[in-house]
Amino acid sequence: MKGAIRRIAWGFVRGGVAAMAMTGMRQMTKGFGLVEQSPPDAIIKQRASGLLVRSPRLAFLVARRETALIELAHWFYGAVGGVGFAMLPRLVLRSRWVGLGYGVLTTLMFELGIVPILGLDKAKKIRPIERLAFTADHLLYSLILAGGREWVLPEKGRPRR
Amino acid sequence: MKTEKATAVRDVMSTDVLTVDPGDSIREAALRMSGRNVGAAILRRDPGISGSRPGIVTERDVLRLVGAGQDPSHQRVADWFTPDAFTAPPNSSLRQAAKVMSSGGFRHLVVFDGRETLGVVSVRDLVRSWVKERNLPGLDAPIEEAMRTDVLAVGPQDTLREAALRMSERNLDAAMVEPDEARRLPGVISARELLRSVAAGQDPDAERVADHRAPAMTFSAPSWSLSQAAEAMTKGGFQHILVVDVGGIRGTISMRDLVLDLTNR
Repeated sequence: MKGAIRRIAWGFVRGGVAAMAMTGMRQMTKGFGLVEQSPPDAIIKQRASGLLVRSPRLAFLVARRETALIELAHWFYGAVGGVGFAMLPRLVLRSRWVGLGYGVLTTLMFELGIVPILGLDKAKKIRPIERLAFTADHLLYSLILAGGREWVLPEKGRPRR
Repeated sequence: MKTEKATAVRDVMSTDVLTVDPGDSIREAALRMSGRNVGAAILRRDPGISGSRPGIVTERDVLRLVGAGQDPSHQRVADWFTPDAFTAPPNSSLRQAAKVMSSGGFRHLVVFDGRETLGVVSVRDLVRSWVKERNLPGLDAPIEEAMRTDVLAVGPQDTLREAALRMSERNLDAAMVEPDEARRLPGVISARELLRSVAAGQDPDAERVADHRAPAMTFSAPSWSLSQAAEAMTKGGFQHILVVDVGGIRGTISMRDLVLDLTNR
């Protein structure tokens, strides 16, 4: 029980930190013009009219602290993803491909789940280069999560270096 | 090939037109406009009024009157209305109607076939149609390209008369209400709130702005899209949004600003 809580806590922290790395990468891809708007950014800019009408107070807060809130939301998703990673079966975690696999999985979840559910494809046309950049983001995230996965494995199950 | 639907003014106009008599008091006209939740009324034809096009009285005339220190109960529509209102034929496009409104700086256009008034089209009708059909270029542009940055701020303890005076001096139909202890967020007061107060027979010298803030409004950031602002205004039934960012109030955007910007693209 104590071990599980520790894994969840570490997963949350590492997921958050990996998402922070994604933020840096996103800044770079935005700076080079590869990505116009990050997905949460596009949602708020294009498709949050319901929020504007239902809760002016929240709209005020989001409008004033947009950058900070978008990043916090992104880091939170990343932290939750980190918990998901930490809860993978140990057999899977021991594989050297787990980072790449989790990156592919998060990309698929993004493309097939988050994009249609949140209407991101309606908010803005996602160009192929942006899809590539988003995939690279998710791979970076997962590789950081998996990079030192000794944190989530018991001593005897750690992968050999 | 995708083609743009040619929606005509007749497709979006209100045909249930409110009419008032030139001899009615402004307060009576305000009462009827407020009761129907509209911002304009057409004058009934009167032999004493020249011109083939109809006359129109709007909530901005009421704002002007209050700002000028007049008593709405003792002023007649005949002294404040706009004769020979700008009109549009029923088959004109929404873009044409919008251009007429933008160039004239008004929010209502009488739909007139040369003989009789068929309806009234407002900026709200235009924006609603554009939001529904999403067929106007420029809706994805950011709000900062269309917003007004010269925000008129009124204090919550100012009287309605003072607010009306300052709005009419600046030719605005809305102002930002500064926050106070009871309400931490800024608000909006518009010509519609003035109209309601006049309709209720309240004394504009005694009424405070704090008690007449617009019941519905919202906030946006400068980088958010015009389409989102248009959708919010249409869904929420309001005409003004305060634009804020980390530095505070940056401007306002109204349906009229939207129409002005979109028709100039």
